[in-house]
Formats: sequence, structure tokens, C-alpha cells
Amino acid sequence: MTLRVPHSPAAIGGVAALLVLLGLLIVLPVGVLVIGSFLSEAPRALHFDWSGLTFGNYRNVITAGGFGPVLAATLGTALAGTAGAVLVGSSLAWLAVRTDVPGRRALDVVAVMPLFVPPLIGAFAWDILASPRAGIINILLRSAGASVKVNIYSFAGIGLVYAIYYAPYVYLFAAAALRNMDATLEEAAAMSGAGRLRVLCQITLPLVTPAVLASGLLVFVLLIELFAIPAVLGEPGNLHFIAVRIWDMVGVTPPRVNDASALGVLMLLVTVALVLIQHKIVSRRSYVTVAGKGQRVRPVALGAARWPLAIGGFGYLLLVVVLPYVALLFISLRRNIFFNNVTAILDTRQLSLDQFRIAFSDPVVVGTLWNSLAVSTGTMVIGCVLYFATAYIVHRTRLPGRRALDLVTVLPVAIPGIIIGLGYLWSWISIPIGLYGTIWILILAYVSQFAPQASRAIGASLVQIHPELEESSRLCGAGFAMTLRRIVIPLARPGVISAAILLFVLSFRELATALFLYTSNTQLFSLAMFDFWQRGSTGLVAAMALVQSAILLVVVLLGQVLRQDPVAAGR
Amino acid sequence: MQDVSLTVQEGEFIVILGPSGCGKTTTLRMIAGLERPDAGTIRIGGDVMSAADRFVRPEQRGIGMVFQSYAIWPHMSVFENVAYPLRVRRVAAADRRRRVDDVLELVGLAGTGAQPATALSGGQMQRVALARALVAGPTLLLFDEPLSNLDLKLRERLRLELKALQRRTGLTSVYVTHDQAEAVELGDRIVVMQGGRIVQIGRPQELYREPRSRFVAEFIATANIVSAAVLGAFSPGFSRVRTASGFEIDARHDAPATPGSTVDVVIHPEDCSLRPATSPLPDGAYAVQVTEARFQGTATRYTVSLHGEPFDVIVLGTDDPLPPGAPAHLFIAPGRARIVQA
Repeated sequence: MTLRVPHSPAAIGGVAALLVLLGLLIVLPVGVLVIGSFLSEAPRALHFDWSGLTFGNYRNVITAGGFGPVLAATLGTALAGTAGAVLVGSSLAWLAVRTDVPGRRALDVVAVMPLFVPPLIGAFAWDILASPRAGIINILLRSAGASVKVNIYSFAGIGLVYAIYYAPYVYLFAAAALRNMDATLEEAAAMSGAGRLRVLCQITLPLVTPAVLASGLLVFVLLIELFAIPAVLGEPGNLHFIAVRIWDMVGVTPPRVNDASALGVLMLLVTVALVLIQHKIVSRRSYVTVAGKGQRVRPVALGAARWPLAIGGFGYLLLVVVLPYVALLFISLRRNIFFNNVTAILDTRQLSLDQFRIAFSDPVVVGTLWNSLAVSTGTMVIGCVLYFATAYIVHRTRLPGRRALDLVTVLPVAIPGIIIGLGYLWSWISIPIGLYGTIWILILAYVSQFAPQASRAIGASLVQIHPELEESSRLCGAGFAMTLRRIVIPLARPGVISAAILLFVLSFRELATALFLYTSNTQLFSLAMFDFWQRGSTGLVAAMALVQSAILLVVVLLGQVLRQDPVAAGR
Repeated sequence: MQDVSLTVQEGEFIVILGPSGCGKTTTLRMIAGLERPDAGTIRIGGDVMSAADRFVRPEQRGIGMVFQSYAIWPHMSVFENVAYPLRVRRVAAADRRRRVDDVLELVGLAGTGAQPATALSGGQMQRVALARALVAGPTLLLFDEPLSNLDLKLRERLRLELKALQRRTGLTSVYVTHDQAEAVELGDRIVVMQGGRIVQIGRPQELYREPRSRFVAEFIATANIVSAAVLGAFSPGFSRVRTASGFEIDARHDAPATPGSTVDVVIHPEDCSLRPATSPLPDGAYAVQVTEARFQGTATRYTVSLHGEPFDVIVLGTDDPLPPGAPAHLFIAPGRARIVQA
């Protein structure tokens, strides 16, 4: 039961203000984008030319040469990547949760580590490792006299990178489902005479299917909207993707913003549909992860297959984290990035910190670093305040309008970052209040984009606080503000810190959202990396990637320290 | 909720009793200010707390409340939990310390102040909750099923302590529970609620002896409730009735019932006695046959067949029970049967 006292005019006014603010931040840009996709003129200040209403932009986009291949490449690689992610993620989950594979506890940590590797950095690293001509793996293969080579600039290559970096999303869902599954269901099948393989295929798999399906759809959506990996690995192999195409359209002179918007709306339709389907699956009761406490489950004995499977599991870590970072470190520590045989690779005279020296003396690199830190800090602070207020109203009050607030904050799940960026471009050029061209437009775009993650983290903490803890404070004589300060916020601290970390990390590594929103003064670190990479400064990019990863690591670790349970801290 | 009208005397211990969903917790939360009634007035000590044009927020009512979940703040120590109301009222640190120590001693938790609140057992947590409710000197103490999460033994002990504490402090208290044993033992008066209404208010003995409805009779104690036809009122305050199974008895009534109408008659098993059928049937006794006898240590609980209908009898003492199938004579204490509304 929540406090059912009369709603003060201030509270109702607060909800209204929040609704208006979130409407401006999240709904307006998408709305303007949709309108823009039907207009024939590019965005101008305070000007919508309704007479030019047309389907022409859609016609341009669909009938343009290459639309078919773009669609095929985007959906095809996303489908292949999803299939791979589901296979890798659920196999790892089964290994780590339900078998006696050696090192299963370590495997549980390993399986989610790729989440900490930003897609852009993963793409750079795999470019360095496996580009057809200069990739380190290919040089090593050539030196060994092998006639085969790997090509990351291909359908299969991109699908592989997708699969390994997005497998952790499936892992999280599948592992939770397997942990919560009632083990007696499997035992009953075994007692009925079913063998281990039959139990796995006929009992275990069907039971976790909803969880795996839901996470697979989520991955599919994320891969369709992804910009960083296709931009880095697709273009060199002449594979074109929707997100990259939208960026190209805005980049030409004159910019084809209207066509880009039409393509963006088509993409949005697909992601919204997929997210709705995903939501349906998750909210079905049969979904296993909603079951109660996990009980101790007897692990499946793998027998002789234990060690090969363990090697396979940890080999995954090698592919997604170790190899890429070794490659980045290797490139960033070289004087000269051109090498074509093993001797040159192992030449220690090439070792130097030059790239880091260059990076830290380059005003662009340093400037964008400060910009990025400022934008991410702003996103974190504004996001935490905004989404704490929202989550509190949604979960702890019965104020009118709270459901609408809840809905608006989850909307961005279905809105690709590049669409948010394009929408902000349209809106804040059309409404000239001086937002465009400042770092504030970037901050607000990020605050909107990461609304679901932040409000979910805070909401999860708030719902765990028993309402009576708050009510008893009121009866002790404390008013609303004091109760919030002394009881609710201390108890919700883990959620608030999680939200803060998520907002900082996600905004610090984001690329697509900012593509249309920066100017030379407000460029961000990820954008600068992407820019340098396009100009071929691979060594510098590797150094910057390591700097970015180090900063993210520090922030995540700091968060772990700050997050410690307030209940434990009271001891 | 409708027609909830209740006046609590100063220093009185009132128990609100009813099944879940009867509105008893809502009533308590309205007194606390955690919910606002759509209509009606709530006064504490003559001051209006809630009315159509006035609503005093919970923190300004000066009430102490003990919650079902204990509501002990897990991020604070025992001392900090109990000191919170004083802190809110800006009581000086030294004074605060003394008053917290006093109240912790009062609830039997002296010396535990420095402990983290989460390290306590359920019973101890409930004492902390009580200490916190008492520490600021409330005008009224509210209890929302405070013992329902504890095991039986502890519940019985805390019940005794709570009653003793309330007598000592003289604090006006309102206590909500669904447990009739708790209600009967604690309450100076009991308010029985059903379906959002108050159905009867009275001292525990009154509710037991004079239940006004079948619901109250069943809720307050196990009882034989038999359907009967009214024959007529032949002595003041009593009606003669004939039960469906065919025996006749005089039953007390609130007002004489129309002869020929059907009523429910309550007969408590402990108002009955049973003797082996060794002599001819005495006057006023009924011939029955034992169907089941359950020895319960200090009493034997019988189910007998009375004109073919099952009827419960409790016989105190530790004598060997009559065997099932044995014929017996049933005596019902005169004047104890009562007519209730169906």
C-alpha cells in the first residue's frame, strides 16, 4: 500500500511539469522527425512548409538503387548475429549454470565481460586483427604459409563480431531462467527414463525458450539500429547498412535530411514492432525467470567432455576481450603501424609511448575528452534527478499521470540512437532557442536515450523498499522531504548509483546519437576516435580506445565501491 | 467503508477485529493519516484531524504506530531507529540519549542500542518498533497486526508484555488483528468489523455472551449454531424455540421474535456438560450418543449426535473420555442459549 493522502496541488503540478519536460525530451523530437519525413524542405528555424507534404522522400529512399542490398545487409547480418548470440549466450549459460564444467564460477563472470567493451572499440580491434590485407591474424597466417585468410569485412565477419559482442545479453536472460527453473521438472523426466540429451532437448530447452526468445529479439533490435560496427567494418567490404546510410545522407552536400528521416521512420517502424513483440513475450506468465527462489540444483555431469567444453567457454573470453585488447595495446605501443611479417611484429625497437604522447598533446583529443567528461557528467546528474523523481512518482505514489510518465520513460527502448539524434537535429533547428551547437543538446539527447535504463535501475531499488518504512517515518513526525532524505534516498542508494554509472558509461561510449548534434566546439571523444579512424590514424585511435576503456573501467569500479549495500554499511 | 463510528476513551485499549478485507486496517490507516476518508470526521483529543475541509498530515498528528512488517529502517542502528522521532523534533542530543535508553529499557532491550537493527530477531525488531512508537510520548498508539509475523510462543509472551506496558503507560491504544484470542486477551473493548462496517462493539465478555449476529458468534469463539423455529416468548427475555432436529430450548433474545419465524441459536460447547447414561433421562437433559471424543490435555472435546445432528461439547478435566458410540445425557446450562440474527 502506498500513502493514500490527498494529492497536493504542488505534487500534481510536479507531475504535469515532468510530463511536459519528458514530452519535450523524448516525444517531441520523434514527432518532428516523423513530420519531417513527409516534408519536401530541409529543417529551418520556426518553419514548417506544410504545402510540401509528400510521400516523395519515402519513394526516393525505397526506389533508390541499393535499397534492397542495404535492407538485406542490415537484416541479414542482424539475423546471423542474433542466431550466433543466442547459440553462444545460451550454451555458455547452460555450461555455467547447469553443468560441472571446470571453472563454472569464473565462466559466469567471463560471459558478461564483453558488455564492458564498447561496440566501436570492438570494431576497431577486429579491424586491426582481421582486415583481409593488414590484419594481424592474416599476417600470421601468411607467415605460417597458410593459404587461408580471414576477412572481417564480410557478411560472415560482421555477423561473427555481432554474435560475440551481443551474446552476453542472451546469457543474462538464459542464465537467470536456468537458475530459477524448478530442477524437479528435469528430475521427473529422468525418473521417467529419459536420457540426459532427451531431458535437455525436451524439458530444459522448451522451459527456457521464452527467455531466450525475448533476449534474442532484444539483440535483434540492438543489431538493426547499431551504427559503430557496420560503419567500421561494413564500408570497406562494400556492405551498406541502414544506420550508416542515414548518416551518409545527412553528410552529403546539400544534406538529404528529409530522405534520411524517411529511412529513419522505416527503421523505427521495424524496431517498435519488434520491441512490442518482445514485450508480449516477457509479460507472459509462462516466462520462467519470474519463478521464485532458485534452489540448489544438481549439475549435469559432462564426463570426458568437461575439459574441451571449458576450453571452448574460456576461448570465448579470448575472442571478445583478450585478443582485441592485446591488438589495441600492440598497435598503440608501436612507432610504426606498418608491418607485414612476424619479424616486424616482434621487433621490440618499435615499442614506444609515442601514440599516447601524441594523443595527450593533441588539442582535439584533449578537448573532446573534456567535452565527453562534461557531457557524461551532465547526463548523469540530470538523468539521476529526473528519473529519481519519475520513478518515485511511478512506484511510490498514486498521483494521476504516473502511468503516462512510466510509458514515456520506456519509449526510447524502441528508438535507435541515430533516430534520437536526427530528431533532435530537426527539433532544435526548427525551434531556435540556442540549444543547437551547445553541449546541452548532447546532454539532453543522452538523457532521453538512456531513460529506460536509468529509470529501471532506480525503480528496481524503490520497489524493494517496503512502504511501511516510509509510513513509519511520517508517523514519527518527519515530513515528506525529511523522509525522502533520511529514509528513501539512503535505502535506494544502490539503484541510484547504478543509474548514475549506467548514464555515465553509456553516454561516454555512445557514437550514433551524437553524429548529427556536434559542432567543432562540442565534438566528443567517441566522435573524434571515429574521425581519426576514417583518416587512417590507427595508432592514435588504438591509444584513444585504451584511454576510453580505462576511464570506463575506473568509473565502473568506483560505482562498485559506492554501491555497497546501505544495509550492510549500517553494520 | 460505511457507518464506522467509534469513540475511544482516554487510556482505553481498543481492538479492531475482523477477517482480512473487512476494513480494519483501512480504519487504522485513516486514524493514522495514511489514508483520507471520503467523508466523515476524525478527532483526536477534541482536535479535528480529518474532515471535509481539513486534513492533518500523519507527521503532525503526534501518533505512535507499530507496523505489521515492523518497518525498522535497515540502514540505521537500534538507537538511530528509536531516536528518529526525537531527532525529527530537534530534541537535544543528551536528552535524546536518555529518553532512548529509558524506552529501550521499558521494552526490555536495554543495552542493544549500538546494534544494527537488521541483526535482531523478529521479536526484538517488534520491540524496537514499539520503543520507537513510544519514545516521543504519543497521544495515541496504533498497532497494525504487530504480532502476526511471530511464532506462537513469542506471540503469547509479547501479548502479555504489551498489555502490561499499556496498563503501566496508560496510553490510549487502537490495535488491529484478525486473531480473536489476541483480541479477547488484549482489548478493553473489541470492535468487530465485517465488510467495511462495524457490526458490534463491546467488552470481550459481552461479545462472547451476547453476540448480536451469527458472524460475531462464529468469529469470537467456536460455537454450536443451530437453526430453529420460534414457538413463542413465555418468560421475559427468553423465547422458546424448536430446533430443526427437533429439540426444544429456551433462548435469550434482544427482542421477542415472531412465533413461527426461523432464527439461529448459539450454544457454546463449554456451557454444556455430558454424563454417562446410567440413570433414566433427568428433566432438562437431552439423550445423545458420542460420535467422537478428542482428549486435549485439560479438557475433552466431544462431538455428539443430538437428534441425528452433530453437536460440540467441551468437558473440562482429565477424566477418561466416554467411548465413541456410548449413550450419554447432555445438559445445557440454563439461560446460555441465545438467539442471533442470521
